[in-house]
Amino acid sequence: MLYDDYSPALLGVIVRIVNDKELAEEILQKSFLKIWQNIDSYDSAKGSFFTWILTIARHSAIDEVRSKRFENLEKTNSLETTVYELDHTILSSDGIDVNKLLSALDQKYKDVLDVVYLQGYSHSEAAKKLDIPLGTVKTRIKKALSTLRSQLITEKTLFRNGMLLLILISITALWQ
Amino acid sequence: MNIADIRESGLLELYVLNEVSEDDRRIVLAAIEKYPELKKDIQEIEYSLLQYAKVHSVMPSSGTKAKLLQNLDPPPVSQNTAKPDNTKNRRSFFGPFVTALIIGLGSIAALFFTRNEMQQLSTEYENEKILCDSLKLAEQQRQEIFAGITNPNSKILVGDATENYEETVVYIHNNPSSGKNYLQIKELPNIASDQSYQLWSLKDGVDPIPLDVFQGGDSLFEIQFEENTNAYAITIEPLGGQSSPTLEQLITVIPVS
Repeated sequence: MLYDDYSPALLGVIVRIVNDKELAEEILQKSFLKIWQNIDSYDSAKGSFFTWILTIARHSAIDEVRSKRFENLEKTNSLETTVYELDHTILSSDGIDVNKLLSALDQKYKDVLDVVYLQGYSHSEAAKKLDIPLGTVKTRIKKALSTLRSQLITEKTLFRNGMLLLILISITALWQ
Repeated sequence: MNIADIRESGLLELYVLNEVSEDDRRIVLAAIEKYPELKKDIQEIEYSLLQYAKVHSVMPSSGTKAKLLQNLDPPPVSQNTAKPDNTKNRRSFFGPFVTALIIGLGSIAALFFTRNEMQQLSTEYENEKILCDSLKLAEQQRQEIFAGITNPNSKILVGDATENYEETVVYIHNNPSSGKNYLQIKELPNIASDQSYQLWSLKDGVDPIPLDVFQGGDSLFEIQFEENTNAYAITIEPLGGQSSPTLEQLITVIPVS
């Protein structure tokens, strides 16, 4: 089901925006309801399905942060920052260890991606938060994604070639 | 811009992040039309971002899914259990064992190389399934709204547009006995993409109470009901709404008579 595939990734983003797991799970539910109710407005020509549902989840979380309700909640809850992470290795659908890929990314690039992509800051807000010029935010986003892309392509190619080689070796050994 | 310029500009990344201006979006769309190979770039950027989000996943508790399913109430999906015929072919020039092994390894290779396509089809199937369920849910909601506004205890409150927003025409179907309100929108002033409409409850002696925030996409929908409200009001606010209204952007007041 769609929920099983995408809910951990969406919840990871929402938690980073509201910093409260219980509230984040509420927002996750609302987000899936919105996705459900507006599914006919999804246009695959405008982008991937995940980008679309991520935008819905992120806006829902940002709306909650801006609402009065969140202000009240924040007053009564501890403001301590909590990081919620999965403690196991993440394998992509192509069998790639994505954690390994991230180790190739400098911290400054991860910071920009975290703030803009996971927490939904605009570029000018991100520049202010990270104390870097606006142009640098854009440059780092491009650099971060270029690095991830090239790493993913390399890993995928290596994995496929490895599988193919294994099959060829097996066939050759059997013929001899 | 040629294709190399587009790739170097960083616009593709910003386009995928939905962070481009309208002018830049037009540039990207025109470039994709001119250089269809850019679609692969877009897919790779989207894939990178998906993997990045997955690394930062947080597992929801099991109760969250159960609550969601209660709200969605999806219809059971019939399973197609048809199985392909297994045609037996025992003839072999090189021996049945080696032939079967090669076919087996070939199948594994074929399965592996078509895996992405299968996943894509599976996602499309899920999307179609959800679309069917969402239509059912939408119909159910329409029926609920219809029952709400035709209730004999429901009365229609007419919005009084302010001077700067004279084009505004809205009604509230208000039912104090059931505690339900439905907002009917006939005409609203245009807002920018970083703005929202926000509903307020006005009472004597207290500050305006913030209620629903909406983008104006629907023409009739349920809104919050607030006891002892003298009038409801709608303002234009920054995206997501605010805790106190921007009075300069008050577009209408709907007295509760």
